[in-house]
Amino acid sequence: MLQKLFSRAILAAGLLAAAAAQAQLQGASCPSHYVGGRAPQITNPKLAPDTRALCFNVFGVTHSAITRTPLWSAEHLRADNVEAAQDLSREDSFHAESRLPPSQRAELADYSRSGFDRGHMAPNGDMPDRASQRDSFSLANIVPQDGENNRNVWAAIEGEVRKMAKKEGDLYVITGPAFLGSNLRQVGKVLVPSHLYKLVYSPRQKAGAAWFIENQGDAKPNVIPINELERIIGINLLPALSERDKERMLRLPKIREPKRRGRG
Amino acid sequence: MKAKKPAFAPFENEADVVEVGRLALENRLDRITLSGDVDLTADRRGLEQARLLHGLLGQVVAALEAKDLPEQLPPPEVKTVKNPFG
Repeated sequence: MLQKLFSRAILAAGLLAAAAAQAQLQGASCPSHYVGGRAPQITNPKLAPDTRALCFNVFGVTHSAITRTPLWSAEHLRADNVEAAQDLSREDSFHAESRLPPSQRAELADYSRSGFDRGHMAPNGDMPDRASQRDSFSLANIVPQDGENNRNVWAAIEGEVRKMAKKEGDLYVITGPAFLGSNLRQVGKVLVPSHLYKLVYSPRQKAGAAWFIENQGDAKPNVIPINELERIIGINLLPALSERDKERMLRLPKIREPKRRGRG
Repeated sequence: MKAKKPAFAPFENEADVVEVGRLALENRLDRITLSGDVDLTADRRGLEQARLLHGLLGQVVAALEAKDLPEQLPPPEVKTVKNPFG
């Protein structure tokens, strides 16, 4: 009996490891988006099943069919790419990710009447060309995000990262949701993250840090070291770096409290 | 420099997005979200952008006027589920 249980546990662990290894293998197909060419490795085995790596021109995603969201979107931001072409206007469209089967992906209908914004992980504002702008509207790069959060504090963080990229020359950025706590909200078939993170790594300074924030309107971002973020979310985001490397804190700019209408 | 009329069908889909400067208009079934900012400058570019926005908001008003509107939207449909990773 005990032996049977034991062998079953080994089998389950083996399957999980295989799923994680597969996800990482696929992630390696767009190595240019990642520090040292190495995609993140999932360390919390519960996150690993039904994940799939998707490569876009300027960002790489690993998508979870459990959450129907990305687990991360990774970009290598370069100063010359950040200089946005200022068109008079442009059109885009949110769309389900056609490379994912309908049984695994989010549809536009999941978000409708949810009260949540469709929050970009790799931001539209980082995209250097039209094709990449369109890519960023794939629901494989989107999570349900509190609207006030998305439009104020989160937009400010995204703006600061672009400014930093211009100053530093280049930056690696990994953005994603965290699903913490005993219960989660769900819209349609999509899980609503409890928190969001944005990790920034400067190759010039060989240092990194992350913003970590609750997915709420009145939330304030905390700046934390890379390894603390990795422990919280259960993903080794920068496997090319040693634990020692990850302790080198990059100074992140202070996010100004956004002014909210009616409150000052 | 003339901006062509964008395909934007207010309240009819969850897909359409138009960006004018940094101001984004997002189409939803139950709302149109405007976020970001734009300077409508006193030059040709500003006029084109103002016309574009004016046209889009005209479409939004027309779509709302054609609807039988409730006093207020019902609250959003959000479920609470057990965290599968907890």
